[in-house]
Amino acid sequence: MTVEEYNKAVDAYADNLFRFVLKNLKNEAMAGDVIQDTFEKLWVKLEDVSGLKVKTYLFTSAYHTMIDYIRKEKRYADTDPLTLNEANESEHYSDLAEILEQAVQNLPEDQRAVLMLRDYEGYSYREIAEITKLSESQVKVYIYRARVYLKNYIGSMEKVI
Amino acid sequence: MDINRNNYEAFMLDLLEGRLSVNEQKKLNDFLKHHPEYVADLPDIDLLSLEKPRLTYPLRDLLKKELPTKDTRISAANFDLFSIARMEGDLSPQQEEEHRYMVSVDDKRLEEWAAWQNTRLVPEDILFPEKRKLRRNKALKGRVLWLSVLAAAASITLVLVLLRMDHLMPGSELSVAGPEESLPTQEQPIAMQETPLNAEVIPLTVTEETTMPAVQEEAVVAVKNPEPEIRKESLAELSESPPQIIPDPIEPRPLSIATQLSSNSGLAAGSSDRIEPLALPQVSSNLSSLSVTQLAELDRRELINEFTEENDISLMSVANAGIKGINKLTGSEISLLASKDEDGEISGFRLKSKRFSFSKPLAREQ
Repeated sequence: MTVEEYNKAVDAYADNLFRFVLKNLKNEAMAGDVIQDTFEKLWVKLEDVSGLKVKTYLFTSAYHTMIDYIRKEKRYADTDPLTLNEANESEHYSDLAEILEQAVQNLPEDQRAVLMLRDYEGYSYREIAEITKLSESQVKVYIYRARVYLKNYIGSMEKVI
Repeated sequence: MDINRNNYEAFMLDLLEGRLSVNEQKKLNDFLKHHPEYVADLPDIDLLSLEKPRLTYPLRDLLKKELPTKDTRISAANFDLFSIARMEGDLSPQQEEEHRYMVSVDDKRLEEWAAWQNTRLVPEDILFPEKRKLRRNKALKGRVLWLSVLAAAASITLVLVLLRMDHLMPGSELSVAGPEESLPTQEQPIAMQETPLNAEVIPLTVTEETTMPAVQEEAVVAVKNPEPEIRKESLAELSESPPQIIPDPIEPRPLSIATQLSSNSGLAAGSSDRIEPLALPQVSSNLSSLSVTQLAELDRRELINEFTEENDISLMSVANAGIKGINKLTGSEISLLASKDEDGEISGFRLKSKRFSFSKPLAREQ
């Protein structure tokens, strides 16, 4: 991969990558760090990464860095019960998008990431499996489960509203 | 355990409560066949047949969560899974057509289908605010690598120069012409002069022309308080070593060594046939009158001044400082030149000395 291709990858994927990570982490600073780390890794491995595979490389790297962040955050959250209470109090819904947003946040991290890769980036099951190191059938099951959960969640919240 | 007339009731109770294994049930069956008089004691179950009742859960198919394949037919039970599959593009054209038809003829299913479609995430327009910082410069990468190597070498040299000069004692000037510096190079051939060691001593005078007043004062103090004992030892070492001392064509330190040795030690006259002064270029009298320690201090401050005078201490300046240090140590005339393009960007480097010239062009910035 050339420097020119690297810069094109920045232009083409930095925003998508940021959206994907931000939606999962819900923390702009952390998401920014993940993106910086991801592109730094790409820069270091510039000669090893094919220009055709760069998007997958970026999402794979970002996904695993993000998972590390999420697990670290979980460890902190487990020791801080206030975090959960604050999260519950902040649940105010006004439209479908917000309900969906909240429902997505309630998904297990694997299902959430897989669904975002599917809907945001339009990745195939095989590509998502490659990124997440899951099997294709696992990916498929996660997406199906996530959709069932989202539909039920939206349905229940619409009744409440 | 075998079943007999003494324990068969316990087995019947276990049978009633479902604790008998298949093997034990067979044993109980065999026992009752041989002792039909005890059949009447059996609980109210069909012990002899022991066939499982054929019961089926009427909604069993609805519980199945089999993801549709290309061969699966749509039904009421798998309508939801087909809906998801249709969203994901997993259905064959025929399956999709069947699903579409099922939705079109049933309002409830139409609503369901709409609800499924609501689960699709819509990408938001989120921009990474620091995208510009991620961009890299092609020339920069080569430049950084190249300058890093130069700067590393130069920095090490610089540190050596500074440390060496810091540790020079007034009586240990001979170390300036130590083994590492006395190695002859082709660029700097050894030149010897037949002037005796007890040559005329240039008096130590401090003039206002000198740019380092503080250093001049130190120089005066150093001369007023000589350390003859150390100098004797130094001279003795010198007299035992081969009389090869490299001249430094740039700096006047060797001359200073020779002159101070001759002036400060009483043994100089007797050693004139063994230690010879060096052929040196012309230097200003005020510099030549300083000791090596003072000259070293001047060099060090000059280097530091050159560093700090620049607004930005760049790798280039570090590299140049290091190369200057190398030149001072070895008497070489190595120079590092950077060529710039019309935009003022560094477009290449040239490392040049008397013996070699090495240039490295850099690709233009992307």
